[in-house]
Amino acid sequence: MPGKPRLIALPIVCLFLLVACAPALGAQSTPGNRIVYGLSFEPSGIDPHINASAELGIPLRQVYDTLVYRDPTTGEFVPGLAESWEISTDGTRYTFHLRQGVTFHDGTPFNAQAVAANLDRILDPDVASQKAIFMLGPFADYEIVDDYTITLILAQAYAPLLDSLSQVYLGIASPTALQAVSRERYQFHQVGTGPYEFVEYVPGDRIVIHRSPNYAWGPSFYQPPAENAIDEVEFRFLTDASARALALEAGDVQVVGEILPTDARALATEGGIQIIQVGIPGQPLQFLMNTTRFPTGDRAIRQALITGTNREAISAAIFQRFSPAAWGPLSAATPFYFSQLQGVFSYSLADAQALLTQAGYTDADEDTYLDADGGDLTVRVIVPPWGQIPDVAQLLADQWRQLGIRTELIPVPTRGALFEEVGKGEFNLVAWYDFGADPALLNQYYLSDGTLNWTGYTNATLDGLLIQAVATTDPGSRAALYAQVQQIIMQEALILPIRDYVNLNGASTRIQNLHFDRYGWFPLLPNAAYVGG
Amino acid sequence: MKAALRPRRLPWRTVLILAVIAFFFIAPAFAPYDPMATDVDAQFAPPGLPYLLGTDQFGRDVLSRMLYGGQRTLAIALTAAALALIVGVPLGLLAAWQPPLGRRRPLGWLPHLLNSVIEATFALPGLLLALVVITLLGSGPVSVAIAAGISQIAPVARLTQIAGRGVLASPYVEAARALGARERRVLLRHTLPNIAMHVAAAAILAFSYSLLNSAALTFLGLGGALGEPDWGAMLYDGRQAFRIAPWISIAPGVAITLMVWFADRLGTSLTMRRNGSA
Amino acid sequence: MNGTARRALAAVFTLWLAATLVFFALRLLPGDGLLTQLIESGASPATIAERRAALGLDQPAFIQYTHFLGSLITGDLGVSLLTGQPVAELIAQQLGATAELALASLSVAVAAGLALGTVAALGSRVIRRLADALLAFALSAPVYWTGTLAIFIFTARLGLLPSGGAGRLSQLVLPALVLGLQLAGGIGRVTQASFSETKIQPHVQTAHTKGLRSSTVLLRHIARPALPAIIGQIGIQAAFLLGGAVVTESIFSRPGIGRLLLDATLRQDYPIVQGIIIWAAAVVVIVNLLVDFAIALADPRVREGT
Repeated sequence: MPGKPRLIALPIVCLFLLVACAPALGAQSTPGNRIVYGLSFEPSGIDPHINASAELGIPLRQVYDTLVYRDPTTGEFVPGLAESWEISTDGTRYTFHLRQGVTFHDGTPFNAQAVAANLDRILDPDVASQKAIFMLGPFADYEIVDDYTITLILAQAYAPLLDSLSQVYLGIASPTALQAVSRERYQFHQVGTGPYEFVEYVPGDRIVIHRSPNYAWGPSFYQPPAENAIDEVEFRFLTDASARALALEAGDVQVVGEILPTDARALATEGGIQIIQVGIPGQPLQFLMNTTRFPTGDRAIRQALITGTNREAISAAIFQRFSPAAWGPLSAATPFYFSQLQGVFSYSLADAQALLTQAGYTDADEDTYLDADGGDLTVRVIVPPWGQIPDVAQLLADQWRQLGIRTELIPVPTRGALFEEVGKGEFNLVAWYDFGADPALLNQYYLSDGTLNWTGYTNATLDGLLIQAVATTDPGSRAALYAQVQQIIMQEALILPIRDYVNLNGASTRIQNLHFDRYGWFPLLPNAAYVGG
Repeated sequence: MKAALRPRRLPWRTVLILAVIAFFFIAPAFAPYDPMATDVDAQFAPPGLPYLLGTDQFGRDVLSRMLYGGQRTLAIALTAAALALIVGVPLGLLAAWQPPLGRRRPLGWLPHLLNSVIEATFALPGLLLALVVITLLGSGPVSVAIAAGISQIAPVARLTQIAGRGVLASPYVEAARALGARERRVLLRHTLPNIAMHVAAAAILAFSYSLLNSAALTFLGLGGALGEPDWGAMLYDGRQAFRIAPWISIAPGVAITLMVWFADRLGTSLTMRRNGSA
Repeated sequence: MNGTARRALAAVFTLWLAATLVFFALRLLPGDGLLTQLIESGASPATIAERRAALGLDQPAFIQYTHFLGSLITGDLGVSLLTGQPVAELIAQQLGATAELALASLSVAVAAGLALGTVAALGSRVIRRLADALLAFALSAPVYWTGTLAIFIFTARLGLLPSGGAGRLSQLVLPALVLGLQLAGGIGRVTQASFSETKIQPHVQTAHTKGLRSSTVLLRHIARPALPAIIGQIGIQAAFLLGGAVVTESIFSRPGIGRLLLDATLRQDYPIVQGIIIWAAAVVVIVNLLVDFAIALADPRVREGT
């Protein structure tokens, strides 16, 4: 049919024109010391006093100072906005001597009243803090001793307080700024004393921070600005892991976190890109085992499951060897990590089979699965979709098949669904991890009445150790207590540890001195430089 | 007009296409390996021997997974498309209907009500539907098929409604009514056959979008096949490793495209008019 | 009741129905975003109960429903459970990017879809088969895959276009092309079906034998009667797009309603989900209104009916 081609050609020509013109339209100049930093997801709210996401700390750690800091290498607490502090012998009174001559980015002077205003805000029921308030533990009151001295009073001794105070959730914000806008609006107008000033937050699109010219009160590990120090950082939300790696490769972003191990492996060989692996303190990727339900109620089964799990193979296949195998309830990067657990329950198919045989499990019907209650010996595993847990679960199922154990995977789409499924109590293992630099986070999981005691394990000795460790301020004594805690947990085989969580950051090689803080997630941007932009 | 609408006898091409679709339901018999068996040492083996189409991240044989995966993938997409058609076509047809003028007009509200139902269903995102269905029925192919099917009801209904309105307003239907045809007959005998082509198009869209949407659930982190062989899931796995092992996605990608194409040809040839040549 | 009033009433009914459906669908899901967050933060059960009570989450679903409808009538979509931000504002912030992508990808889809569909229906045998195969490819290639590939080729390897983001025109090109290609499959398929149907109508054959120019026959006798279905399909896709293209937005790191919806759904921030679905329902009503109007212009027969 003549006449038709013309009609059809038009849209096609338009399409090609669009593609052809595109590069010209995209021309844009990048100022020398401005970088784009890709975040892995968009937090639901970025007010550190209110919201709970770890991701918000990546930009905001740069905006706020905290009373104390953790030294990134030693993990010791070092002065921040507090020059020094004393803890009363009973561990209930923390007196902080504050640094003088510090001003917020809006010019408001920093003093004890400012600290008090921040505490007031976090504790205000109308502010409805979702994390910071709970980090204060048994906080009772504060006392302003003078303009530069404040005492925090606790209802009982609470050793993790300094750890809490060193985190961005308890970052000190300008009282003037807090007053100026409503609770909901403050996240768009944040003012701290940190090395970078908050510029803007455009939901769904970006967070921008700019280097503060007056910053001179950083902790000991903040270097004076390098010649090529980064002046401005635009954080963008790159929620898809493959897209993060591609954007980095294309030079659209200079730093991204959490790239896929397969991408990291491919990018590591490419020029211009560095892979920065950072071990995250807290819990490793692990499966908590339900001790109140058959068959994981049987310690022999739990031990067999751990021994029959080839962690090396999992690390190789899924994490491309970027993650060390985990051996206990804390990752190697966590303070008070008990390293002697390494190698306990290391992989041995024969040992695992022997454990099962000794415990009396046999395969009488010769269907290659061990028998239980007239059926196959089966474990039910709750599998959330994040952190490559579905991949790990698939490998576990295949590995345990060699033990003669059938694995039933229960995928859950959300955290809410996971809690619901756990609440039903019909599971044997559930994948979970939580991050933090103080082992006090174990209490929720291992106290007999802990809110997340999903193992269902109760043990008065363990309870006593956990409670005592939180009330003890002396690091030496805490180390001894947590060593016992970690040993008991593994003796009882309450968890199947898989791998230490490692954040695979990718960065342009033009970024120099990019290091991360003790919590693993947060870059020390004041020390970094961007060369040759 | 009616006579012209009778589908012609199945031509050999149609039979061939049906055979290909049927093949994937018996294909597992031809698989050289267990599609679930992992072998970490054989991770990302390129196509060749002994793995003709290579292996994936877990060292699983791509060819075997493809042969097994057709079953699950096609079952989900066909169920979803069937669900969308069974609910969507009557819904759209009734929403297109208007009580004939000049008589008593009972049920005059019905098309408006159904139109609102279609519109409201439209607004429900597939994501939420999937979450709700998974919560109620547990995750698994049935839930995925139902969720994908429900989210295709509204588009099928809307296409049916639009095509149906055109026919219902035509002189042809007027004539049928004038000859005393009942409304049920008008819809089933006079309208439905005349929009068969549109229904077929809607069906193929429902089929292919269900196929893609069920795979997108994995992408969005709503859980997925968890190792069960599935073309959509394979495509997703392949994407995760596309730099290192592009072959993982190629086989299922080609299979999905061919299947959509075949299903499309099938739908067209079944609804084709006698002297048509589409 | 005249047509306009009936239309308005039906629109209100649609909105009510969508709001009701989403409200109860969400209540079928276990827990809520706030509950989950507070448990993880180590809040005591008493504190959690207090917080939920403050937001009315402790009340029976039906009471919550009446409150929800009550504020909806006054135009209040509520506030986010997790940030306290007004839902209307959260949606408004994402609208621009969503509308931009919807418009651009729909333009690509209409252009490519009409072209492919026309060729697939009217071209010579070989060309028809080729167009058929292209349509099948467009329909079967998921955006998460084509999008990744497009970024890999055009951004990482060739350096022609930015990988994502929003604001500049160049950032719109790849997502619009990738999403447009997928949608072109749908429009193309419907175009093909409609043209195949109309081209064999007796009056078209008559027009040909009368010796009318082919282009006249194409436009007047083939294209025009085929328009309703095509417009309908475009409308369907426009409505979907304005409700947010979640996969495309994620891959191209674009802001938009789709990502807002995904985050809110996975975090179980119910007021946001409810708000977005009411927005989507409103879009559907308006788009359908426009589509019906356009169809009535194209096909005089239908005008009587609606």
